[in-house]
Amino acid sequence: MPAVLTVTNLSKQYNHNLVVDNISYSLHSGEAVGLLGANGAGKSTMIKCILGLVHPSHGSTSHPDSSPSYLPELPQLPTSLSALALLRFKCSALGLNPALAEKSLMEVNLSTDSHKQPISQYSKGMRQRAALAMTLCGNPKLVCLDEPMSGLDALGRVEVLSLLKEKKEQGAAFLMSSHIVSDMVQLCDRVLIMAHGKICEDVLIQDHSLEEAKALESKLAQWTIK
Amino acid sequence: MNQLFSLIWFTLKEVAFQRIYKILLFSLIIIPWLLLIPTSLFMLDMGKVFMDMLFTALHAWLTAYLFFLAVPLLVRDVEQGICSIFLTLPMSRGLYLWGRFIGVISSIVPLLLCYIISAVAAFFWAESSWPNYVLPDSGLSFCYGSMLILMPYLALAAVLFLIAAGASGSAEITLFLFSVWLICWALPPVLDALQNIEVAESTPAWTGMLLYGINQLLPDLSSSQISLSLAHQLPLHPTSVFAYCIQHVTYAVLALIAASMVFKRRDLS
Repeated sequence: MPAVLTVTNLSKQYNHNLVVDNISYSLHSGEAVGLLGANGAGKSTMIKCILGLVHPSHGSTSHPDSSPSYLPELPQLPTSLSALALLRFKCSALGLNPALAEKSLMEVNLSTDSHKQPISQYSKGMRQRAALAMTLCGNPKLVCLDEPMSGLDALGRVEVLSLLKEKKEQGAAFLMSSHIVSDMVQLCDRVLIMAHGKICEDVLIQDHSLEEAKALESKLAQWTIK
Repeated sequence: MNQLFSLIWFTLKEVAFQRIYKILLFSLIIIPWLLLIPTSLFMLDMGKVFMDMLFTALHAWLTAYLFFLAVPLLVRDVEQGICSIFLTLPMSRGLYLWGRFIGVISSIVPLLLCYIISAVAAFFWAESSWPNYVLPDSGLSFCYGSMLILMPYLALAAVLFLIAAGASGSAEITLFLFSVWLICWALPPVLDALQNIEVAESTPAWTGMLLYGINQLLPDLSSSQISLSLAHQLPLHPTSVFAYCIQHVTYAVLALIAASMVFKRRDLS
């Protein structure tokens, strides 16, 4: 299966601080890879390098089939407009059917009443859902998620995880950074443990169980202390 | 092209749906009528004073628009990372800047139209109420002048985009824009005076050329000659008007090209 994302010897240095250190991996269609690490491990910077928001100091990233869709850690949306207007803009800019906008909002269970409300009136969870709808609108082949569950309650997390699994089954590839190990284990096939800008361990997820999540947490603690 | 038009339309809506935009729109409808009150104190020069006041109000609200609507929009985009929504569509950084710029400028059009319509109506009313003190066709001259006064603000908006392309946050953007705005107001009239024929005769030729060069570096926001000529119904030469427009449009285009180059190299964290 061809890779939808290839990262080759990627490094990013800010002044004398090496934030991402010579990272290489690839991601295939229908695969979900998790990025696990303490704050400052370089997860978000690596995602931003892939998206082209940050210029790598060395190395390269390639996503030949499609451009990655992105959900930032703290999604900021234009608050004077509604979520529907935002998604319609995406559909219009990408030449997609405008009806997809409403469909995407329904997928993330954002109530129909709120579709036309200004985003300034949304709660934190509603903003997170709107941002997720924006990310998944148009069925992108490669999705980069930076803390996708932040701001969501327990039920919301279950709903979003189920939606992401559905998209994965449809062939979307996910690169997901999260601090919630249990959520990551449920979605991902592989988890890359990062510390000090490097990939310390590439863990294959076998049965998506809670025991695996616990084992992963202890591995993370071990690498973070080192 | 589809992306560019979508972004322009989106920016227009984003600006227009803000509360401050609606307040500005409402105030622009009533300002010309309120200005008639102080104008009536200058009975003999009513038409000229009224036009001067309208031009001053035009400068004030265009400045307010840039500082209170355009600056926050760019600050949100760059500082809070809203621009990642557009850039990860994907959209090139150059296209993003052009789309946002044209959107910001397009949002001025409804405001300007409301202001012009209200001002022209006020002129007609003044003409019919005090026919001896308001020159005929003053309303038309005002329309013409408003379009010309908009030009340097086009250039200033482009300078704002250039600043935002490299600046790190709201304080930096506001401070640099304020500095540019202040220089653009204060410096050109002084430089114009220094290039006066009488002054030029007593100074070496290279000084004149140097002053002319410095004068071209920043757009002349005061547009004092235009306001003066229109208020006093003096003729404006089409060639000088054309040169004035071309100068500001070229300035805006060059500033945006520079902004694109700076923005392309920037890390958006």
